[in-house]
Amino acid sequence: MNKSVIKQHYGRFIWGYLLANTQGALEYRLSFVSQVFAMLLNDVIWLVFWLAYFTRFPLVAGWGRTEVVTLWAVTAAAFGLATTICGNATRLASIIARGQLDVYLPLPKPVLLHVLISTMSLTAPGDVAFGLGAYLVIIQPRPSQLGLFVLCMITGAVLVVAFTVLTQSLAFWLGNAEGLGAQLVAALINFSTYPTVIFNGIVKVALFYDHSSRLYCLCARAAPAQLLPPNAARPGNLHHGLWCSGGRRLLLGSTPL
Amino acid sequence: MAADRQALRRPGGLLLTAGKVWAVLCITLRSRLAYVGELLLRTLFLILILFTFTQLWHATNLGKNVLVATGFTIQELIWYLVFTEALMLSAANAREIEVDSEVRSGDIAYRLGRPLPYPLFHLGARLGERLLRFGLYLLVGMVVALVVVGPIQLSLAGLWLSCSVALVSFVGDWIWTFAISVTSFWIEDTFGLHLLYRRALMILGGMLIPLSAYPEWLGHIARALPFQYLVYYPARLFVHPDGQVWLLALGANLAIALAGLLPLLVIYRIGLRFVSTQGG
Repeated sequence: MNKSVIKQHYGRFIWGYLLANTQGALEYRLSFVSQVFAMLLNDVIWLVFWLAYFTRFPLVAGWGRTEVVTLWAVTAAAFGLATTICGNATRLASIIARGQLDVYLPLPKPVLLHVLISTMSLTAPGDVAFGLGAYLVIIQPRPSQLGLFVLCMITGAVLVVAFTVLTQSLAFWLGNAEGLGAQLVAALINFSTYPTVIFNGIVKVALFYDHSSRLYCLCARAAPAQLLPPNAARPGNLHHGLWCSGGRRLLLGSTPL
Repeated sequence: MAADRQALRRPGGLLLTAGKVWAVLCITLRSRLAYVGELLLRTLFLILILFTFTQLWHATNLGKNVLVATGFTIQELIWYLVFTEALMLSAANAREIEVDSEVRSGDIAYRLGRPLPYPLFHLGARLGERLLRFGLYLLVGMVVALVVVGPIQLSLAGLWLSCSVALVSFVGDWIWTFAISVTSFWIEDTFGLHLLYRRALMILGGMLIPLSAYPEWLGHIARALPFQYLVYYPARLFVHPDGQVWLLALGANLAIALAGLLPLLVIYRIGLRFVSTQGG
């Protein structure tokens, strides 16, 4: 099979699971809708809180309403997209520890991809709806900014899935790594939702390697010519690097787990 | 032997019931101590939050005097955060609440047969777990605060005042959480309701920053609602001990707990009508 046929095949596979998961969630319509709505409201509460904070205490380097909304919108949408498609990513450690991986091992599809997409997080669509809604309503972007927003959402989602799989896979060595995995993912989300200008020292060095915050801000305020910083697509960029070297292989599973 | 068994099944008086709740609390505490390593791992997030907020307050202080704006020094703000984080992180998260799953799976039918009212069994178990987590988080948080911002003037009286209010707030919080959980007789999944309740506690209770640091409009809303008594007041007593504030906070927390009993009992009793058992 040539590469494009393989991609189509996996695309259909992921799409099929996404449809089946959505139909499954809609079986309990009230529960599903209430969870999505609750997550949406939860994100709105956080955003209102941080907007209030940054209005009362304006930070340096021009962090204002636009930047805070964009940062929260991209982070929520990326996390939502990741866990809508790969709902099992955050449960991987528990699946490994309980031996439930055996269910997927004899099946003909790539094991990791299959495990990840076989469940959908019921609250995740709420995150995506919040992210897109907040960005469209509050920022009112130009088409080019919206395009970059979607790109950031996708690359962010790849980053979330990749990082979650890495940390949850610690269960292969540690046994019960659910707690540790959850804490590390929470750390990733935590650092993603604060302006990088507040950090200094070694943390700043670690965060600066990931250009995500800068990209997110640019979504909101940059002219089309400035949409991407010149070094954004450098192989050293974490998004780009993860996608090229790990993300694609991770998702499409060129080799079984 | 049969008579002993009968005696065990009798509900007993208030003192006996309290003894049983205490026994459940101690057993839970002991069993959770076996997983203290995992609990310590969970403190990683607490450390991260404390570190992040230290950086945030220092950056904020460059633009605006934090002491003038909030009434707390940066050191006090971080120690305040230690207490609020220990309060909030010690609570079971929305996915960990057992009552929901027991109602959904029907396991509640087995639990009802125990010689201790079902809600009180959960009260004992939750309090046992929460006290252990709270103590551990507070300890780790204090060590981290010492490292990142240094000491503040703490007193034993302040610790006692804040912890006594926190203990009553745990009971009040549990009562409302349980009332939300038993709505799972009608709603398949109460995760959304729990999530919103927790968010209200975090934001309107003043978990991340004291209410005095809120903008006026948000401060007005937060002060009009009871969430502040569960989070802000115990933490404020920890940093700024005050006998009068303690009385107010203790009274308010008792009122919150008592007010929660009505919805809890009504929803629980109506919900129990949906439970049917068979076999023997």
